[in-house]
Amino acid sequence: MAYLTSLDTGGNPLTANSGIYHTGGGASSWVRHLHCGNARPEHDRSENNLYPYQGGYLHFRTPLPAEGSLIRGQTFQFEIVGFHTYGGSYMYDTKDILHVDGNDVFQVSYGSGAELTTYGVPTRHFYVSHNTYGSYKRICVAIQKHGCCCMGWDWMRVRGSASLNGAWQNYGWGSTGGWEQTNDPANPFF
Amino acid sequence: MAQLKTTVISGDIAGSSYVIDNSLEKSEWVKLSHCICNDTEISDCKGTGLPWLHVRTPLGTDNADGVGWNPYIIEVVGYHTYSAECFHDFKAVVNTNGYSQTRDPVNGNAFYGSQVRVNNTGTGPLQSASSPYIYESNETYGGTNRLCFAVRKVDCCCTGLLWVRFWKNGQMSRTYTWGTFHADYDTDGVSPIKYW
Amino acid sequence: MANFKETLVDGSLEVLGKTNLSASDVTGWHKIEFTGSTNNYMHVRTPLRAHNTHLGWNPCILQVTGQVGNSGQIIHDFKALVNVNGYTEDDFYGSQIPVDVGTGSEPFVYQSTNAYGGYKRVCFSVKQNVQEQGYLYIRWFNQWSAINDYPWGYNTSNNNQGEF
Repeated sequence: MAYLTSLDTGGNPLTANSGIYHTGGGASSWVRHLHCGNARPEHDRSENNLYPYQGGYLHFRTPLPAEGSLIRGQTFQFEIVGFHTYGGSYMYDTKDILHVDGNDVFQVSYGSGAELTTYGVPTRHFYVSHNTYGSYKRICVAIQKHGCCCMGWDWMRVRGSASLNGAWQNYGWGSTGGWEQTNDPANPFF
Repeated sequence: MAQLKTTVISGDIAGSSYVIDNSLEKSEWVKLSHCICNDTEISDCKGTGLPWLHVRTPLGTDNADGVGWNPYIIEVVGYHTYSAECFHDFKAVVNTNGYSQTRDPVNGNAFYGSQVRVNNTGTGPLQSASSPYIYESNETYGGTNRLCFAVRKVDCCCTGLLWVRFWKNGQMSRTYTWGTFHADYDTDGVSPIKYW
Repeated sequence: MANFKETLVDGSLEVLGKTNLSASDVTGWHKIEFTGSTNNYMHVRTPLRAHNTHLGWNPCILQVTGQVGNSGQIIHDFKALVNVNGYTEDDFYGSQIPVDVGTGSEPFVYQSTNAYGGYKRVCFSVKQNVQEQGYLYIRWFNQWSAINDYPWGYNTSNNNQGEF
């Protein structure tokens, strides 16, 4: 690892292959996802299990722990920019505020972002995973998508204290499609 | 070229070029200023200017450019006049039909059209003062059609700046030149002429 | 300070200070951490001069995002256009906020009453009367180098202007 006190690139570009953390400005790196939920029967299918990829929601398990010292007491902004389908039938441009209090209780304050789309304002829903991953339950988000695989991209990042970078890199990401916005503990997506 | 492994800078990074995150395919902001000043023709500088600013971006819109069913987002932030009588803050999804024209003579390689999904200037007068429209150039530039957009401006030179960036296919923003022009109309919704 | 020609980082890059690159003419984000108080408004004095030397008929877009309250009770997310009359030295155009997608934010942009480092500065206020942690992230488009012109200032009051 190289450690520099400061850097002047002059008139020349600098390229980083694995993310840029603007820690001084309070932002994690952006993470980009291509999405298509898997079509296993218990996941991205219509509710009667007949049709694949028609679940209607894409669920992400983020690396952020939903409990423990890395996240306890933090209030931070979670930003999503993205779209689903070739015509952007759903488009996201949202900033929401997430908080884990001193008792590891998870709270969300939804911002007003994401303007009109073809099908109205898309919804997203943050929740805590039912299962543990790497010994911690994780913060998850479900975002509405069209009932098809089609094509879609999402960029996500967080803003908050400098220690949030560690939480942002604490574990791997996971994604799946689902027919519900919420995570049913009896049949969890995560 | 200097090649580093994972790097931490404890202070500032500065420079007159770009810092690019290769993992994102997101471009940096490109800044454009606008004013069309001609001595003898319709001119913003003479107060006879036209109310639409058209921008031709470097991004190709043909399947051969790799955009067939490979959509991306164009984001524009900017203003025109000293009090932002026109203010722009929108995101649009851009796409082209991925079939070849051989396979689908009607729709193959066809541009999807203007799909402005997020416009933060809200509704009413502020949004109509922005009125973004996305289109594909009628002509080819460097052998391919290019992505264009039109936004409203006041028919004067005044002052105006736009910042444009792309989410996905961002590397294409460095492959060709930009162009700007002012015009009477936004697009062929009113006139059959596309201004690029 | 290291000075490089074209550079490739084959891994991640973390910048603990500021990211200020002039090619885009957009400043890096400036972060403020604070605790809300019983006063209604948080006031921020930016380094940007509300003066011809930075803004004379050469407007900047000021962008602010952030939140106050452990549960994000107040969310800030706005863009303002700031401008000064090009004929006079510091005839400020006033609070012009064409984009506000926050919640309970009540943003207001104004010119400082006093001079700092010889110039009146662009200031803004946002609602902050929740006595819990808060963050503000601030940047502007155009005149990126102004971010190094003078230190930032912060205060709170029950009025939405006139604090600096």
